Amino acid sequence: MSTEISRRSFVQGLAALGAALSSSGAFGAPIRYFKPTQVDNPLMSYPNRDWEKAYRNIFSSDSSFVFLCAPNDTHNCLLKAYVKNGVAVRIGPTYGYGKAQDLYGNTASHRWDPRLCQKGLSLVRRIYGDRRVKGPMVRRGFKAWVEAGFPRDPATGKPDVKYFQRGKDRWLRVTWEEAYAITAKAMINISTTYSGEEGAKKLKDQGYDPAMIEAMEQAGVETVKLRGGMAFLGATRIFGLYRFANLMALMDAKIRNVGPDKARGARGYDSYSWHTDLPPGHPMVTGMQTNDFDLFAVDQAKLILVWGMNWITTKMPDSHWMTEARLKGAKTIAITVEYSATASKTDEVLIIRPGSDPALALGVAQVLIAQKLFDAAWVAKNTDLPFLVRMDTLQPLRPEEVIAGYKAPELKTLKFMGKEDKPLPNAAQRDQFAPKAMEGDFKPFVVADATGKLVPVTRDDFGPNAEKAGIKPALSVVQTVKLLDGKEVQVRSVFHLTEEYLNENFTPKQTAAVTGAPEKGIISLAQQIAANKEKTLFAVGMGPNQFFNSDLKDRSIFLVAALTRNLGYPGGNVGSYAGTYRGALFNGEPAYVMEDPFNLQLEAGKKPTTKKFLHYESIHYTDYGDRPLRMGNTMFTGKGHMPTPTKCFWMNNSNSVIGNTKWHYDFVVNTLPKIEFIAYSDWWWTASCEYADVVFGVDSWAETKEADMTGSCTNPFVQVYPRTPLARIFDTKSDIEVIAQVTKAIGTQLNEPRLEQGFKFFWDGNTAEYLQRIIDASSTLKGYKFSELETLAAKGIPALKNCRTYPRASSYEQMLGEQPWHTKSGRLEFYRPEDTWIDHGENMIVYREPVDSTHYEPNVILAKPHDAIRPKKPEDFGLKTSDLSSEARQVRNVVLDQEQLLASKHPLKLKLQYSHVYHTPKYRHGAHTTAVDTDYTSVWFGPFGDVYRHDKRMPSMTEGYVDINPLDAKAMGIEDGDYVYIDADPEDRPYRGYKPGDTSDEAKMSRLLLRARYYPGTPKGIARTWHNMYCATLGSMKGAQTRQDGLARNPETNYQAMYRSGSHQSATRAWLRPTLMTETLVHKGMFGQGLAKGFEPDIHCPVGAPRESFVKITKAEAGGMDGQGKWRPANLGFRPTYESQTMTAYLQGKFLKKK
Amino acid sequence: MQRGVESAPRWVPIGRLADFPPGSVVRVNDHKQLLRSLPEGLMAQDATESTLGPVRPLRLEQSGQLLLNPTEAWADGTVLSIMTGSPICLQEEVT
Repeated sequence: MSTEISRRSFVQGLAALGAALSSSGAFGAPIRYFKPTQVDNPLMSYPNRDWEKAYRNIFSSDSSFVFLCAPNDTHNCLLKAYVKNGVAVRIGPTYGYGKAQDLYGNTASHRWDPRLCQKGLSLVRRIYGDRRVKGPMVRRGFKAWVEAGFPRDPATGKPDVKYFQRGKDRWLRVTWEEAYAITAKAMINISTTYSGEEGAKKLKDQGYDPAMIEAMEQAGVETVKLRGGMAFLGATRIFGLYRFANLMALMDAKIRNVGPDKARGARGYDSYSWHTDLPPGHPMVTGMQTNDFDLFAVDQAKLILVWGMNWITTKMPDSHWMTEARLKGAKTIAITVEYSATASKTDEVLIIRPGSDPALALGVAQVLIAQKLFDAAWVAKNTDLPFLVRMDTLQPLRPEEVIAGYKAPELKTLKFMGKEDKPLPNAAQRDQFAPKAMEGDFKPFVVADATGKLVPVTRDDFGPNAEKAGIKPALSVVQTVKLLDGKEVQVRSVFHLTEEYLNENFTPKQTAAVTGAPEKGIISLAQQIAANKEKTLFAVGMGPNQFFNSDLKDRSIFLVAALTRNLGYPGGNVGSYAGTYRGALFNGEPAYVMEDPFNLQLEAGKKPTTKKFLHYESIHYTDYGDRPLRMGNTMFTGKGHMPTPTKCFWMNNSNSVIGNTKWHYDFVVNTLPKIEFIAYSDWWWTASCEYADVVFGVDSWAETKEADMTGSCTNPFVQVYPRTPLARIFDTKSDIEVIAQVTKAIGTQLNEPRLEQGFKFFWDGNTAEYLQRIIDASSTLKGYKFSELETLAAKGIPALKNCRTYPRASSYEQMLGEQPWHTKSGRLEFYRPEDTWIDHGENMIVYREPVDSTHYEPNVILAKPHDAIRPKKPEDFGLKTSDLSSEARQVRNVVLDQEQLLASKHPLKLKLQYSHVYHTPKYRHGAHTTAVDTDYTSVWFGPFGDVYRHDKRMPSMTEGYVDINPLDAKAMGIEDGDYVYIDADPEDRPYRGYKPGDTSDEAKMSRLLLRARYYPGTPKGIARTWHNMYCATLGSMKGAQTRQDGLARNPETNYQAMYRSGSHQSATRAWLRPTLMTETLVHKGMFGQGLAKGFEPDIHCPVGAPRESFVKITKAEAGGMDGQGKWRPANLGFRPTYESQTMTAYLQGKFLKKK
Repeated sequence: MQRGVESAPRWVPIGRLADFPPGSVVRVNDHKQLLRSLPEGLMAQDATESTLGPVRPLRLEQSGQLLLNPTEAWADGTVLSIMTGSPICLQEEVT
């Protein structure tokens, strides 16, 4: 019998049944005659199913295309966009990663697929979002200044402030040609104004530090600064701003009437170090920018330490590697400052006090040494630990001081280059080299053997070479030696010095007291690492990197890794993860960026010549109020690091320099007024755009019209941004076109045709020529044809970089003994003998308290008296030991032992009852601020999302919040969900000059007001706000006050803040650290095998400390609707400490019962 | 009138934003309106050869499509801000 019935007859049947039931009076009686329907296959039985088409239709598409999603999150994913009626309506993975190949036909596994995260899924809402920059925009006042001919104060050169009402002014749409012309005019005017003696005098009158003016050498072009927002994310379009900076030598030549020998380019800003992504201790130990490994190396490990890295949330497409490694038998341990998402996925968790990571690593090292769990043989041949140090000078003992007639042999593994010598192209460099002027930096060292005999060790005597040379050093050495001049001095090995420091200060008990980690956990951690030599991976994240002591964290973690032979091995290595930084993987990039502007190669297929005219500097100085670190009687900023005055900058694809900068409100209030021209290229109207003068609206990734290329430090792929068929939605241009057009406009105005030629291949419709040049000059890419890579990318398939190993592993060649490390000694260095380190008590690896994020006296060195720790006192720098201000703390060297430290207090705790360390890490919903305000994303960001904004106080459909331990909050009278104020050090935050109670717009905008969330995962005394949300601006404040809907949305620009006032950056500030500004650190250069000394952007320069603040938290408003009563989830009994009976039963597992 | 059905389309597509660079003056919607692209935004007015009529509402779709409503009117001097998608009355600002 057929079981099919029509929908009509089924409904009619129900109606008849209902009528019968009601008329018979059977309603309410047992329905004994209504038997359950038996349907074997509902898909066959049910009536008309056309309604399902509505759902299928939603997912149907007319066509699809592939584009590359590449925010600065280190992933990069080729994604497939599905198009309907000309609109990209949804996004999915390409499933092409398992098809990726290298030049030899090696193929990636399908474990890479699917590759996509929620930021990519929500991108359609951003590509078509209401904050797209829809064309070229110019601030009205700035346009007026340009049109008035750049009027300036005749004495100082300062423009009239009436033209510079940034953040309050109206925006005007202009033609693209006008935007290019305005930009060109401004750059020419600024460069001209500040050139020559006259320009230098103006800058002096404006109050700039003389050292900054001197660094310009009277070239006004050096006040013009460019930054590609994580340049590695776009080999031509983002690196293009650095090419622009180099090309500006042509502008300088015209303005100052000088030749190529004297012309200077504009300045390039750092990226990786600016984001505090650079682990600054890596070059101090290895000489390399960063030692790391592809994250899927976890497959090779037996023990995985996830240290300060919220891998599960911040590395989403690659988080499965960690969980799969665990399933395959590896043990995972999270070292964290809270019970994080990652901690919940690991076998063991060690929770420590924020910023105490170096102490933990030192404690582990103490156990390794005390329990003799380390590999003495490996340490003896690969590290400087056996080297002898003179205790009178704290300098290494040198062979020529003790061995008569000693002459250092010529080094075989390091070639010295004269000024006339030209290094091989980067891709052809196999051996290390250094300028001849650095010869004195590579002197031999001395070790003592078991008999006390002194043995010289050259830079060539590393690894197996040391064995071949018969060098068998003792590690723990203290003895007196007689120098050739007759003087007797005590010498001690670095190992001996370190061992004493660890035993005196970092026993497990002492380490537990400083870090909060349990003694047993510290001992167990050390023993597990020791039991997994060559098989322990240290995956270190940005948590510990964002403290002032981050370099000490690196140095101490490397010490643990070296002691346990866990460096350079496929399954045993150290890595640091943040930011898409590793430009060195495309070491042919200089073929594009540094092409000699005076000798451009205009023929396709021919190799360009390179010459560097641009100079780099760190934005940290601009953020620090456009100042170097000059304190008391001392300049702490090295000459090579010296910034110039900032009069103009242009950034692309980045909101991190104004909008989400550390000390944001100080930047806005005190630094911006000094800057005369700010341009941004972006496709999303950010807080940075709010304070700019010109904003170029550029294509989104989905509208790419000029192909480009990127890579990553965490995965093995070279990824191409393929050109897409999606028509431009608004009046936008490609990034590279904007750069090319501005360059051309400058050339037109100065009658310098070579500037236009600087982007010849763009004009020819052949940008791929530049990409091919980069490929041909890159070790990992040469052999590829860009056109073929793009064809594959358009199908969703990337290619593999051609690295020596898969996964890539830093220090691999050093582990094999083929190459020395890129250090003075050729070994891993744990002792820094240069003056700056000695002066600051950090020649040995020591522990310093965080500079602000601590309940104790900040930035003190933890040490009992030790012969090798002899820092200069504040008085030596012209300061006072009693000065505990934030400024002075940057250079304040005070040594306390553990008892003294733990008895001390943060000055704000002493004087003003400040109560909480406040830190601001990054979270899963954004790469910096990218994508966090996309509606689909923001509503899920935290517990306060509400698309309807029932509580009209909400700045947007979600809002920033601070996580507080519930017991702390209760004690402060703060309920879950209340609004609170967070105030950091009133001396300088939110900005220098801020006065509590000030009613100015700037003051009202700057004070942080946000929701409090009860969060048991954070320890008492520690509060946290995620780093990602958009700050309050003058415009968003105006919106909140004037808009009917009360949104904190700028009525002029649509900028949408996620705070009513302030931001997480209200509590942060710029910090400059002396040991990151030296002229003396030897390290590898950015590209190739050359060694250099001192400043190098993204390698040896300041990194800031954005997790450092100590705050007061004050209740502002009740969290209930419109400020009345408690926040609803608390009232409902769902929240910690408010649990209803039902919730309590649920938490106790009483919803389940055993039968 | 039957629910959901309109006698005439209220919003007429007239092009994309890039078609109207600042400074341009273009006739749209079968030459019935004059669209002026001003630095502050876009303004559409009924126009014969000699007279200018009411200012017509404009809307910028998130897909980039620009729409004009020929049946309703905005106050004189009102432009569509391309930044916010909202009307701005320039005359009010002056006064």
